[in-house]
Amino acid sequence: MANEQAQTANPVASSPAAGKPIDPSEFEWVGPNVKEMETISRPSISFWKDAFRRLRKSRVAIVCLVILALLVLGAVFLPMVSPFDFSRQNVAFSNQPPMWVDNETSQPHLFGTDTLGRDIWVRIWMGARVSLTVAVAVALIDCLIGIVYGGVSGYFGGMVDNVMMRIVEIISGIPYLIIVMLLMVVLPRGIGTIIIAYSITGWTGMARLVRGQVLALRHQEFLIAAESMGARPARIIARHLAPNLLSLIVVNVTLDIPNVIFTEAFLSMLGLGIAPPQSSWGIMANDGIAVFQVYPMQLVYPAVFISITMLAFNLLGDQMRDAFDPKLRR
Amino acid sequence: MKRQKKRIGFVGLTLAACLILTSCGGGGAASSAAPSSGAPASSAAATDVVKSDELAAKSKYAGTPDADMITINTVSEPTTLNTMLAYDTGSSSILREIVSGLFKLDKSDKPIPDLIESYEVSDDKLTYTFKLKQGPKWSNGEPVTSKDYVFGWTTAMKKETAANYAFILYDNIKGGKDYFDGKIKEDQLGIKAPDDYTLSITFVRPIPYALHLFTFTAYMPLNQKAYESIGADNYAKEADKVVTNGAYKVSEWKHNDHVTLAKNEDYWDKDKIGIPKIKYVMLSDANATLNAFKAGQLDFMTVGKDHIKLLKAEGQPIARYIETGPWYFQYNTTKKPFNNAKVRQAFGLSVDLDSYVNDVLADGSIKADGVVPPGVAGANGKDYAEARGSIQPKFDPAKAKSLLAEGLKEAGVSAAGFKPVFTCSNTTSGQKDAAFFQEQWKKNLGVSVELKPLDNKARFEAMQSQNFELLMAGWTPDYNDPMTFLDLFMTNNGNNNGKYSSKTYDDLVTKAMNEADPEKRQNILIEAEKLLVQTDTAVFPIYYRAINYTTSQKFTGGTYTPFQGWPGDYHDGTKLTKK
Amino acid sequence: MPKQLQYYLKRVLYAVITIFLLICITFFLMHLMPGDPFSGEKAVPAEIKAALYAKYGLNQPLPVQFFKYVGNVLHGDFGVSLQDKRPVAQTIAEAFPVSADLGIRALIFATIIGLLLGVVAAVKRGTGWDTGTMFLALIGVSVPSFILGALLQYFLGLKLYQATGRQIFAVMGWGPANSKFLPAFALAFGSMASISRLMRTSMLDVLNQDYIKTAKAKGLSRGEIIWKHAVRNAVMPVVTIMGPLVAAVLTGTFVVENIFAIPGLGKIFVQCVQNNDYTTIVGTTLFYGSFLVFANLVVDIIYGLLDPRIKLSGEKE
Repeated sequence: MANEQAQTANPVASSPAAGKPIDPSEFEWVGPNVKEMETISRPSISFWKDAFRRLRKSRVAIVCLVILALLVLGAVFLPMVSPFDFSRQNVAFSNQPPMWVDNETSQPHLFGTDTLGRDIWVRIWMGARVSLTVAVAVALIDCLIGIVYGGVSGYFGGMVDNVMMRIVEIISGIPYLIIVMLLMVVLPRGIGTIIIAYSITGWTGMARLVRGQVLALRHQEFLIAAESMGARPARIIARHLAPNLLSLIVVNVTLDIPNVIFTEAFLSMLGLGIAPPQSSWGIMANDGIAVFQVYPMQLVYPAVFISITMLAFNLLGDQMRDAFDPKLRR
Repeated sequence: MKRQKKRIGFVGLTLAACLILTSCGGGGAASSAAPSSGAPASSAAATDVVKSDELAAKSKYAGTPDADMITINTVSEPTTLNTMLAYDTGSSSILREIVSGLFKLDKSDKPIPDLIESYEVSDDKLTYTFKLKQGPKWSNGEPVTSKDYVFGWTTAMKKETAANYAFILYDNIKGGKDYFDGKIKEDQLGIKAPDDYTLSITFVRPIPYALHLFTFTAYMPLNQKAYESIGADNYAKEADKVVTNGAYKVSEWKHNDHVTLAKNEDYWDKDKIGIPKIKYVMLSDANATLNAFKAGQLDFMTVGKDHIKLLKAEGQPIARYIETGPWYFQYNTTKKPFNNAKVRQAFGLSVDLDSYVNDVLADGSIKADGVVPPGVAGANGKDYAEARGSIQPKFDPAKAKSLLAEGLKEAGVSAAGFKPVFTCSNTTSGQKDAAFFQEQWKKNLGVSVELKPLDNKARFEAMQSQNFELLMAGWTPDYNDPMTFLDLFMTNNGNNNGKYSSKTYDDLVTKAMNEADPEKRQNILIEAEKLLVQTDTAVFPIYYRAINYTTSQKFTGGTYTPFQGWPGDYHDGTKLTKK
Repeated sequence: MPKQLQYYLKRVLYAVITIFLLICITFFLMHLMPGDPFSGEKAVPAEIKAALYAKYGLNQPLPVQFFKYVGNVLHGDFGVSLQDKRPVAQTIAEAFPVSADLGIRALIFATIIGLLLGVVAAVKRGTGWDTGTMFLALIGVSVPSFILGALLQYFLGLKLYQATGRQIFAVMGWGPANSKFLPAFALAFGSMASISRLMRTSMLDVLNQDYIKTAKAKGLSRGEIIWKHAVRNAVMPVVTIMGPLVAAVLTGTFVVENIFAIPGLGKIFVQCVQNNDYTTIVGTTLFYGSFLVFANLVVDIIYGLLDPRIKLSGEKE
């Protein structure tokens, strides 16, 4: 670097004196500039900063985030401002087309009405509350249990790991339908029950993943180096393991959310979703499937919302994976 | 690269939406375009239901391509083809085609002699003696004799056979219960076979519907040689492990996929068999059923409410059958505050049943007039329901509210903390019905009801162990008499799930049981039913369910009957339509 | 290598214990489920219920039932279904091949089309091909299978039939060749999508490698470079996700089997849970569980053989 500077300095220095013979006395030997060699020319960018910088640069990621933010805001606020209550029925006017003006309130139903004459628009957003809450909560719980379980299992290894992984195998082998059905009967049919029921076996995947990663990291040179330099486990976990794991976890939580939305829809199909009058996208999609040859829009709305959400999470997950990938770091 | 990815994302979104939109739009367009070939759309849509035997002629669909076989949807795998063990309608509708017995039901559900020449009834109405036909044979070549009946009945009544419907034998046949308990031997039973073609049966009491009883699957004969050589554990579990004597033979049985029956060339009345082969498939998804029917993979289907409009718009004829059985609110009278009649009444009065039947069900179902539906035989050859008239209380939210307030006070339950639980089926339609009732109670009664959707097995258990407060239940008749509905609510009846108990009611029904004069008996029963519905409101009748169905052009002559369902039976009047 | 062998034996032993515990837990959990295998809408008289319980061994205390069951299983007897009273082993033996047939078709379909789409997208990066294939992949991962199945059945089954008058794809059933396409496609779509996305990424990675440039410099044809050099290397990450995919797809899926009326294991499993058919529940769980546990075991062992750097968790360090 010093050499380079010297070279570039040369023509600049010589240009005013062009044509004249060069006088060596004008030059002095500066020697290697040790200080400058040690300074970092670009500001140090931490892994996280870099990742987020790249994520911010990704327009796909931004669009996904905006869509998700809009969905969340819609779920929170739109039911409040809707002229219709989500459970209000007007059975004499069921299955009305979009923009149908209600005979009682003279307000339009943006998405029309369903088979019980309920406003689909407000039900979509009430459904979003349930579906999104369940999806995010289940994904987070899965991830939390998964990290602790997988981390402990992978870090301690040996017999501990062996036993813990056998337990995971057992749990993932138990038909989760049985567990869901049991919990649905034992606990009241609320959103809490659904979250518990869906996450009670769902964390095993994350535990396996984290354990595998920890196991792989444990034998890497930088960890061995840290250990041999006397770092305590707490420091190793916090400074070395966590950053390497977090990206994996964040990505997988993002990709796990769509799976939960699918699961919710599937279990709703088996009658194991949230109880009326509450609704979810999964339940609405199932209701819509029943009538899609007659009233296609009743399937289209929930299906489009499910698909958009899945797409947003999937794409965001992809982008995050790219952003967190050390190989792609610039 | 990032730019590129972003575009993919957006195109993906919009196109995904388009795909679904166009796909469904296509569906709508097709359905509205279809009637153009026939009558104008408006008149086609206005066509109401048609008669069952007009379906084939008016049908727009040609049906399955096979020359001599029709395909029917039986929804799920028949649990058994063993006559002794059958308990579900899927099994018994197939068994009716492959096994014959003493009597069978005709198209109007009247019992008519089947494999018998003649029969006699003793003066005390306890003993029936049959002269059997000598021609009929089992599919293993053996003749059908009186021994087969004796063997079938005694085997079914054995405890180790563990037949769900064994009680229909041992509750009625003399000595049956003792035989079931292993206290007496076979020869002490009221069943005798003096020779191969004479059979007599003695009941414990006169049974007015005895002939109907002889048409039950449990009363069918069973070939001893076949049963013993195949073995009890394997009998009737595969197509080649069942020996039959009916109009059809089981030619193929691929479990959970299909059962195929083929005409029995040795059947004693084989000229009546108009359809050489019947294939039963197991399709449970409603859309799939409709698609399969339209694509020529099914010849008969029941039409759910959601698809009635679609088929009507196409001009496809639909026939309708109203079930002979009520649906009602069942209250658990042992649980506060549903032990109070006023509360029970309030919950019924506050639901707008007209709206429920016309707007929610919207399939031709009929609002209930009482517990006993139309079509049940009354005195003097008339309908019982006609003589009774409507005893259904009218929708009256104001009255319901005041009744509820009084009732809650009487029961000592505070209105503030009152949050009853309505147990419902967890199917899409079950939850939708429940959501309607829930909203009605919220709106008309000011009570917020919690719903508890359960799958069938769990719901039955909750119902039968009184682990519920309020639910919707139905009852299908066992025989053609109002008694099959009304003895249900007697204190000791095993199916009295609400545990309604009234001495007055029990006395009335008992009195009717012992009343010989039909007119008087009917009047007593009407009095009992009024007490049940109007005064005590042990149950609150809601509706009688309609079943809508349609067929392809391929066969005709089938009809729905209360005791047989579709199509009566195939070996009596149904035939392929000749092209 | 006696030490290695010892290790593998130990793993097999662990697997057996795992399966035993799995069965144990499932057995007791399912008996907690509400409902009764023999109940119907009309109450079954108490004495008949008692006879049924006695006949199928449900009258004994649960632990006794459990050990009897385990004993029978060790003798190869999985009991009879409480629903149709047929041997559970036979039901599984009939249904699994159907699910496996469907699953293998779906897998082949998903792999071939997925890889192809991925390669095309990567090679034609930035063009309409890329956009189109990745769009397909995105639909695949964002539409629930019950919606996709219903739409496929309606359009390719029914509408195509009505348009052409020929049954190109059967609407339902499992048997003739034309009945196997739609369900396999419905099942494959999701996996196809993830395979193609993975393949595209991996392919792009490989195409930037030096050896590809070398191959180009050597004057190899485009086709040769792509198929001989790039695809071979790019396919590796796809192979790693095939393991779980195979297990998931082979054991049947309720949704697709239900929509297309296919007598597979997925449908049977959901039905037996809904019917409280205890013997079939444990039987299928035992089958699924063994499938899963041994698949994991095999994967672990293969990894160990392939990559000596990975130290297996049971080994002494």
